[in-house]
Amino acid sequence: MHNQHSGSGTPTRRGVLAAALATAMPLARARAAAPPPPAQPLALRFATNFAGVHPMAKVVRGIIDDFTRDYPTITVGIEETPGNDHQTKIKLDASSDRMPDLFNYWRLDPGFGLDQITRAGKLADLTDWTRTDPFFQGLFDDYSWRTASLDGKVYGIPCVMFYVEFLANRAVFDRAGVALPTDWASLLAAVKALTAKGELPWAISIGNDSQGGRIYNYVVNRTVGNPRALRMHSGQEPINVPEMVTAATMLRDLVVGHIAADAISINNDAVYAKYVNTGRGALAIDGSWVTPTIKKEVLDTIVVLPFPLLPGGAQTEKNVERDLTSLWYVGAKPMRDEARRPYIQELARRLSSRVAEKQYAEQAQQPIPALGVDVDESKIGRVALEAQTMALGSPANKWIPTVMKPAQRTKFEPLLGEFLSGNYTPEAFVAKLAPIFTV
Amino acid sequence: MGTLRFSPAVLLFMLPALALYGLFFILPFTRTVWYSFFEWNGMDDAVFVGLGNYADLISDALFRTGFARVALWAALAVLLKVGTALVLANFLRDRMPGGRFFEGAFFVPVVISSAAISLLFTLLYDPDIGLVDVALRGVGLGQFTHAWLADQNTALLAVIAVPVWHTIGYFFIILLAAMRNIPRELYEAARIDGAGARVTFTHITVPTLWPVLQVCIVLAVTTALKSFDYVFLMTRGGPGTATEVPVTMMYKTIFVNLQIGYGTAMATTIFAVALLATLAIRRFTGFGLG
Repeated sequence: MHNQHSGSGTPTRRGVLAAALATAMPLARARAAAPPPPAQPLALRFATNFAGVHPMAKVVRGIIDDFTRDYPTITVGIEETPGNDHQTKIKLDASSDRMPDLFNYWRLDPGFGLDQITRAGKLADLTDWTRTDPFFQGLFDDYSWRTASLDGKVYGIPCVMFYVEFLANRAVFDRAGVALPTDWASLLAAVKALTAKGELPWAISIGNDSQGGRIYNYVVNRTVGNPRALRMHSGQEPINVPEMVTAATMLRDLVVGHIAADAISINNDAVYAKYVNTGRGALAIDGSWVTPTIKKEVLDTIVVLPFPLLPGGAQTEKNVERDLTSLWYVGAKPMRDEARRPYIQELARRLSSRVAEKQYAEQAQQPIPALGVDVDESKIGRVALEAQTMALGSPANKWIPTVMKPAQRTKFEPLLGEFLSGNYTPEAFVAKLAPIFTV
Repeated sequence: MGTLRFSPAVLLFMLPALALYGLFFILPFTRTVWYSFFEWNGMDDAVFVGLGNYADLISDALFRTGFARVALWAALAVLLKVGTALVLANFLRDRMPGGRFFEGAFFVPVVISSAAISLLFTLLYDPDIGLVDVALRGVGLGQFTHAWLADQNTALLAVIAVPVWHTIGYFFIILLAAMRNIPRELYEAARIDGAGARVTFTHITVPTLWPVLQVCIVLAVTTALKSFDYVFLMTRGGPGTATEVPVTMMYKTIFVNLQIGYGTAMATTIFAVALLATLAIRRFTGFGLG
């Protein structure tokens, strides 16, 4: 399977051709540019949230181990911060002017705060390097490079993508004698029937940056369309409008009363330990990175579903939320250091090579942005493969919080959690959204 | 109030300590206050906004609510933490067989990190596997089982209960040591005069201990005002914003939102409130002291 991501959000014939050409390109060309080991000991700083049980952790560590084996005078200090705490770590590094040499991070969108860091000159401008180094030719498509850019300059190197997968545990549905949903009406009926039968319809957290937010995104996008949803959540268009009340009403009907008692207090990972891997939850919705964390016996009973269209909604195609989710970035100061630059570049090349991307796809089961990578489908697993096929074959929705400023997210996410707990009417919820997003 | 008198030469010996104090407290503190008059993200040029951040704080309903929450926390800490420690210390004041065991047992939680304790209690409060609900079901009180940290009505009290329990032993040890320094003659004289245990406790133990108790109360209140770890580790301020307290808001404002100016205004306000609380406690609990 070739993984590609076009600007329009769907795979294209041109993309497949580019992928085939790129495959033919000798990988040795990148190695030819590799610098000799430095004579003096050199310590590089590498910061990542690919830590602990994250499926990428082992692969990335392996690549770094290979790098230090080839460059015995170089040590790579790995600064691990799991999950979203990585954002705090990088922001602190930026404000104390000690950016790591190389690190992975989310996109340059306001929602992650990296746009501020970039505009403050803390990130290296990679435009010239990525345009002139033959290594990067044909490696990623235009959409990926645009996503890695800010104000017309390239600051990131694409690493892995994500898509949101909507999963149903057939065993729970069978146990309750409820049919798998095929549209909005049957989805609503299913969650109500599951609750009535004593089953847990949604295996989700509704805390901050949780799976509850994924459902919000889907319902809002389906109702008003993704471009309008993004405008509303970035203050370019009023949010306190009847369509949003409609969306909130549908969201309430779908979620409130159909989640675990502790859904607002447990974190996303705990959901898998408590409700997914125990086979208790009927429906799960999450980023594609979680698939490898689901136990095999549960995966065997999982069915990948498209999130249904909503009656009267603006979206008429079953768009899937997907994008680049992780990119490699280089600190501006380390990149200016001529003694460090060649080795930072070499490590970055190794982490974004087709060999590495193949490992990300096959071993970590992550969707990848690299073109021309011949991925062995049998290594991905049925669920991930079905979900990837569905995601890559559908138009894309952008993740709504990507346009929010961090201060807006810290207000929006607790409010959404309270709403999904049943605290507000849809009208009151939308009224409370307005001051958060009014610029 | 006493007068500090010392030879000027002593100042020379104090200089290293003063320098360290200045470097690690006075300077950062002054800079914190200074930043609070700016709008700044920690990277770009700071923009002077005068008292603008403080004006915004006054109109920040969540910040005000946060102070109400720590006021409740402080009150419960004084009543339950210091109160329980006082009672326990009084029981173990006279050495008795097995007393050492209880002294150790009461103090043991203090040596466990707040992170471990928070994780432990997060599991204890779990509605499915948590011992709290299991115990309730076990004694036939299943109707009271609860997702303690997920309910906005119980989350704050569930969180407060943890540090209150966790550090009872700290105050217990302080008060026990102080009690054992009270001259035994006082108790013997009281006993000869026919005083019972209650009268001895209220008329000898408590008044004699009062300066130490005053310190304990100040510590309990200021610890409540600045407690971050338990809230952050157990609820991160949730559900919703139900357990958000000033210090967790300050953390998010500075380190997540990168609103350094607004966050340092919060920090300065928290410091000012803690200072005022300390002065007030000393003022209102100082009666009868020589």
